[in-house]
Order: sequence, then C-alpha cells, then structure tokens
Amino acid sequence: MTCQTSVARGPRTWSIAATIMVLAASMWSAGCANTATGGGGDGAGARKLSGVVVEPVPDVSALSLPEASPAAEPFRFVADGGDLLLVYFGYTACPDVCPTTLADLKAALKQLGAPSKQVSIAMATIDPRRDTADVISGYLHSFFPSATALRTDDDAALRSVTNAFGASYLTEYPNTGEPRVSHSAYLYVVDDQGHVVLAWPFGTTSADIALDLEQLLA
Amino acid sequence: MKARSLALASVLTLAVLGASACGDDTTSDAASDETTTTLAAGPTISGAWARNSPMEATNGAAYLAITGGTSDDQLVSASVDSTIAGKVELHETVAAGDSGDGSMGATTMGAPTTAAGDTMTATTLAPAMEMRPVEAVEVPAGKKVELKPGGYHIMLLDLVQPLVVGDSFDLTLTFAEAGEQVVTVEVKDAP
Repeated sequence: MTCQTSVARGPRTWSIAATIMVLAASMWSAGCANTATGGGGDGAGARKLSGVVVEPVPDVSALSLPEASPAAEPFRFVADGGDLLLVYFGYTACPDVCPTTLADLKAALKQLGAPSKQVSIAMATIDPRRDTADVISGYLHSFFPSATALRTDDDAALRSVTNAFGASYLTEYPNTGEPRVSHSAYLYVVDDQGHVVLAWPFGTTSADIALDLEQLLA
Repeated sequence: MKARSLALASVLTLAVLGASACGDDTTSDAASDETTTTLAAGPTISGAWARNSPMEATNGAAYLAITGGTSDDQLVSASVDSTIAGKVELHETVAAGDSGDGSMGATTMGAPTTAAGDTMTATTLAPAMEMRPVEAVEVPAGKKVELKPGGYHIMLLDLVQPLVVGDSFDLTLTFAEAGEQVVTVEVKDAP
C-alpha cells in the first residue's frame, strides 16, 4: 500500500479515497504521513505536508453560509490576508469523531503557539434540526472561543458548500429513534484566496497539524 | 488439601497469563488471594477514559483497552449510573457503506452527491464516517482489543451533565462469559 499524494477527479477516486480514509489512522501512525506536497511548500528542502492536497484546488471564495447568530450574517470562506481559515462540517451529538478532531486541533494550535493567531476556525452543523444556533455556537466556543459557528436550515445551500469543499454528509431524521448522521471527517484549510489548500483526514495527529500549519503560514 | 492444590494451580495459571497477556498487573492481586481463583480467567480492562464534553453535547464516549482472559469472550453491554447518562450503547465508527447491515451507508454515501448541473468543483475526498451500534465486541483469549477514537467506543447518550476533566465515574462492563466488571473511567481531554 502506498501513500497517496493527492486526489484527482474521476471515478477511480472513490476507491483511492476509500483507501485513504480507512487506512488514514494506521498510515499516519506508521510514519507514512508526509505524502502531500504543494500548499506553502517553498523549495526542494521543504517538509512535505501531512494533509491531502485536493486537485484541482477547490475555490470556495464565492460561497457563504449564515453565521449561527441572531443576525445570521453570511460568512464567506476566505481567510484574512496571509492567514488561514479552518473549516469543519460536523454536529454536536457526535460523541467520537467530532470532539476528537476538535480536541486534536485545539492541541495543535497550542503546539503552534503564537502563529495560531493567524488561524481562524469555522464549523458548520450538518444536523441543524438538533443543533440550534445556541447549541452549535456554545459547543464550538467550548473548544475555540473565537471560532465562528455556521448553521442553515436550507439543505440545498449547505449541500452546495459541502460539495465545493469535497465534503459529504447525510442526516436522516426518522419518525422514531435517534437521527442518523454520517459525514466525511476532514478538516479543511482555506487560504486568503478562498482556495482549499489542504485537508486533514480523521486521525491526523495534532503534531502533524501543527507542523502543516506552521509551514503553510511561513 | 484440595483447596490448596487448586489455589496452587491457579497461581501457576496466573503466572502464565501475566507473561502472555501484557495487560496491567491486576492479576497479581488476584494471585495473592486464594479465594478469588476465577477472577483472572476473565478479561482485564486498562486505560479507561472519557473525553470531556461541552455543555451543549448530549452524548459522550468512553474508551478503554480489554485484554482477553483464558478463553474467548464478548463485551455485550455497558452501563453507568443514571446520574451520568441516560443510556449506554456499544458503537463503532466505520466508513459509511462498510456497515454490514447495509441499512444506511451503501445507498447514501457510496458516491459524491452531484447537485443539479456541474456545481461540484472537487471530488469528495472519501466516504463519510458514521457510527453504528454493535451487538458485541469480540474479545479473543489473550488478545488486546482497543476501544479508541474512530473505532469502537462506549457511547454515553443523554449525558445528565457535562463530563469535566478530572472527574471520574464507574462504568460496568458486561461480558458474555465473565459477567460484570466495574472500571473507573477518568475524564480527560486527550488519551
């Protein structure tokens, strides 16, 4: 099994992507991490990034989702000049993958230190029925007090955004019992041009996230 | 006399177990107590922890490692006091579409959702992940089974109050053969 350096478009992507996802955790721990190039890499000596570079690079600059606040102002997926915006699609009733990812990111930003001021975070709920504005905001702010929570009841709007990122989700609300939710578990890095320059699969260590951020910000 | 030889046999068994199970050293306690000859035959639990939960989170998860005992067993259920959570289930996080029951994943997440027209600018990176309840977690004799983020976990539903770092609570694990074991779960923000 080899490590994939990027993901190209096309039907074969599915098997490749599935392989990446299923093996992500073991690959990362097995020292197979530094597979991606591009992004902020600036020369032959540069460390390779741990995340996945999507090709062609998605442009999400024209998209927005409403902030989970009373004003519900549109939030655009573009980082401030020279900074990075990290975007996650998840939900608060998620006990395993979402809090693990957010906790790992929190640890990564701590390791990154001062440059973490150049990193902003947004999380959009894929479970708007249960995640009211207050719930998703409070949840996200418990990890990152200055992060932006995003929420819309317009499924088509949310779908167009996740599609653009290359994310997927499915939320079903059966008449009885718990809602069923599945979602792709990547954390996306957007630059100041609105380009998705990197995506970390679930299981990427906080140390690798910190090193990638440091390199992208350099 | 019979009791003494039985105890001796159990000590010998425990010594073998201790060498092969690479678990924690709870077996040595059992070995020193001649009345608890059957304890070490069951699975041993180590490293039980649960992630702290935001106030808004209705669910949490506990993780631990189980080292199988002298014979194959299954973790079939878990429970906590009703002051901790309303319900406890065994869950597994899997790539959507991998689930054996096929009730959800296969038809829904097998391909990227292409909206009308050509609005997709990037191929979906990977199938989504989803959780599914599991009937039991297999615990083969002498093997270590880890319940950890992104895999098997003990899902705590309807948390009564947030799980706070530094707190701990009792978790009762029920094995098909070995019966119940109570472990202390530490609330932490990382493994």
